[in-house]
Amino acid sequence: MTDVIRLFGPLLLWLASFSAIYGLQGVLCAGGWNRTVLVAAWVFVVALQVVPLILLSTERFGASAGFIRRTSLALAVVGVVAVIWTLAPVAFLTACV
Amino acid sequence: MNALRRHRELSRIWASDPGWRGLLTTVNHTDLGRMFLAVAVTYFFIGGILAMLIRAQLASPRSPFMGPEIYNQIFTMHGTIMMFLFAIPLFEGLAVYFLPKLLGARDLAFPRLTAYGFWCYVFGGSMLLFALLAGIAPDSGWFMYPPLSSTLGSPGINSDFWLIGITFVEISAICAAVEITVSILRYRAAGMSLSRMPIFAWYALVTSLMILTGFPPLILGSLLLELERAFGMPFFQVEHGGDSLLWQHLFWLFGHPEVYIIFLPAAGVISTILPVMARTTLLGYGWVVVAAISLGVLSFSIWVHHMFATGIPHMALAFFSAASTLVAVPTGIQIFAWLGTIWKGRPQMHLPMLWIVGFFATFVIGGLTGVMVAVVPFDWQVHDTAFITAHLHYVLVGGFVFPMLAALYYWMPHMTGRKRFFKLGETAFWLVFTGFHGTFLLMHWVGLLGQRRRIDTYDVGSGWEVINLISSVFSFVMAIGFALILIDVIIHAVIRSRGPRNPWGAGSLEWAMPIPPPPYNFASLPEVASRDALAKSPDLALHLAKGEGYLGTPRDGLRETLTVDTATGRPNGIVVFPKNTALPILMAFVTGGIFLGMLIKAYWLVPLAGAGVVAFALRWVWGLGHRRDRGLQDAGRGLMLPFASETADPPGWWGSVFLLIANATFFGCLIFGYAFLWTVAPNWPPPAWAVTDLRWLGLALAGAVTAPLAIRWATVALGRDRSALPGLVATLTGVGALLAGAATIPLSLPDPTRHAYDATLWVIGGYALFHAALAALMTGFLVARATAGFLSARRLGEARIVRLWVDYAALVTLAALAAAFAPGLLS
Repeated sequence: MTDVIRLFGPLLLWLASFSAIYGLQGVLCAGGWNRTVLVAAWVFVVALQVVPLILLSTERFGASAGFIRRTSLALAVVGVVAVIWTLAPVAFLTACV
Repeated sequence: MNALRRHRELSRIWASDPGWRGLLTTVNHTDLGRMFLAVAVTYFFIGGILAMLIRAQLASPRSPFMGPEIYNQIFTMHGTIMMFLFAIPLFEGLAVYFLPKLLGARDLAFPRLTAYGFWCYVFGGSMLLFALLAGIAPDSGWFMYPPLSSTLGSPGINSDFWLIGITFVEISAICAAVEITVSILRYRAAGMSLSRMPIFAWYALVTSLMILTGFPPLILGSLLLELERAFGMPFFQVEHGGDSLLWQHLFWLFGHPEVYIIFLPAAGVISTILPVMARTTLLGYGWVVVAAISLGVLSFSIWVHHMFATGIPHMALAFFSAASTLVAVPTGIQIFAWLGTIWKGRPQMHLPMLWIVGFFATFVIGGLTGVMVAVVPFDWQVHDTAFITAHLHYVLVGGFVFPMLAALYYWMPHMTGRKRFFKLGETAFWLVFTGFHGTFLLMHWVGLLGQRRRIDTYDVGSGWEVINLISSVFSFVMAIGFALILIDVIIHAVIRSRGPRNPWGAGSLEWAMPIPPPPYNFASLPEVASRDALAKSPDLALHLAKGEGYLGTPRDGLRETLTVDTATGRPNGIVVFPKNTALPILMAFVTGGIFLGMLIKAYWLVPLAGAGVVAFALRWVWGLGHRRDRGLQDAGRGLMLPFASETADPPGWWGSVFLLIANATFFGCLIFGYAFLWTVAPNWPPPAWAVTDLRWLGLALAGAVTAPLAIRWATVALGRDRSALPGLVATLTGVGALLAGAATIPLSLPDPTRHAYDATLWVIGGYALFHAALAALMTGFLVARATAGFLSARRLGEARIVRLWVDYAALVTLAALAAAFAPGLLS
């Protein structure tokens, strides 16, 4: 089960971040909050997404088997790319129009 | 024991009951896989006939062929049948039939569950088929948008058939997904580590996990819409705080992953067959696994791209547009891995390869138009036009039907032990391929010219006449092609032309057995040291038949297979499968009573059938396990292993974990719906917040602390060979407090029809109440099992399973109470 979590965990974290930022955008529009909150949240989730990448590359949390280690690291990189690319609109577009 | 005697003995142990009774009582995956496939293909032809009726109607302007009432039912049922009654069950059938054979096991994890899922599919599908024949079929389109599908737009029973019938069928999908996930993770050949798994198993694993998390939103949406239709709970009615967009969110939270749930198994088929046809191995196995997992998870973030035209803010559109473009990357990785495999090998243009080439040509076009509609301004132009119809058919027919036809011709010799007699298949390929492109390539064009999807007719002079006529003519060419395939299969079944055991020279384990396969698959279970075990050891089938693998000596007439460690594939237990039984079909029949009661508004039947399901479920699980410790058993090759029921994490524990993942997704979607209505729907806040006596909340909190602690106490006591009863009684007390706490939610809101807030909290409260009751039932069952001597320090798996459900009940009750009463307390 641990290896399954290593494989799926990073992208599930991204999915949670993506959903949270989408939800936050809805709340922001409903409550008239400042858009800075969204940008700060994006920076936070990008930083958060780097954590599994670092953890999976360590001896303690990474897999010992070569295949799982390589695959989980590749998926962690996908997670980082995904969190930057899919949530980048918070930096460039108006929030509620 | 010689090979022949072993074969006879194993055949006797594993055989289904003789005659027609065997169909009803079989729990064997080979039988059930074939039954799934046969029923799914039947639905494909029914859906295909409906498609021909649609094309006949659209062949000419102002066609008198059928009126809008019938046409609406026809196109709704075409989509519904193809998506829910053909595509998903076909994947289930394929996985049920082949996975144990590919993985080197004798059956799937829960054979009775396979059978139960199959019968739920048959009964649920029959409801829809009956509606179609009776002329009262759903008519709001296969995605059933309210208010068109609510009582306002569809006051008859038509929509109820969809909501109830499809939910019934989805039980089958959830059962299959749990089954497949646990089987892939635990029921493999010795030595088959994750890195040595057949590539199809990776795809099936991702697909199953997607079903577990993708189907609950639709089940929830169907439940809410049915509650609105039946009892007036206004989830989708704006004037009472509801929002019809909530349905779209829930539907597409399912609907877009569904596209990948359909495509990924097909990609698994291609990744399996293509290297064999190219006489090499798959290029970039690891990258393909990364791509499959990425695609599976990324596909959950693009549901809103079906809603670009609903007025969602630009930033949110951009999130989903970006995510939609991102999924093209892992898809591209797979395409290039397949092209590289062809490049590296020496491809042979056998019939399966022909279908794969057809897949490439078609799916790539569908993928590219997919990237086009991922771009918001373009999507706005073509939204709800025939361009989208063309795009989705390129993706689904090209990306699923063509690979499945490759699978049909690749594995047909395995299923029958015969070879093809005539070469009708090649002619059929060209007819289907040409017919398909003639039909749907043109549909892009007419869509760009402005033809909306789902229209029943159009005017002379619209400029669409010739295009539609050509499209219809080609659709009949395609239909003739499919009919030829059917004839080809019938000829194959009729003419007994014996084929070789491994006609393609494949290296995967399903060919290391006699064909057609015996009911036990492998006379003894293999140990593998590579991904292509048969290629490395061509005599493997012979060695296994001689009993040189694991579990080669039948023991006490038991149906046995191995479980392994998930990561390494090291054997760690012996599973004893159940014998043939009518329990699954009977339980599915009684489950049908719940759905039938809701459908015909005979609500007295619902609790009655529910009680019947509980009774059958208790009977089902009572027969598991032993009353005494059996210790280590000889698994062959000098290996001693315990029975799985004497391990800490028996298969049932794994099944519960994945069922709870699906369950938690359902609850998460419910909370999402609540938050969505709160923040987006007009006419909020509600007239009044829910309030309750704080003492009830205190009681529930005490229960949420007591129940999980007490069940742990019981488990620890069991582990030390002491009585579990004091802990279990304390657990029951805690669960009772949870029940009382959860009941306060509906009691505090007397009228669920007043506002969407009240209605939503009723569902949230009902969910918590249901799980607290379930935890109470399971704990009570555990008391009975402990009293009857089924639990011991070795046999505490059942207690660990109940612990999962008690913990979950405590968590959801707390979350439900917070959702219900926090706003009132804070205000």
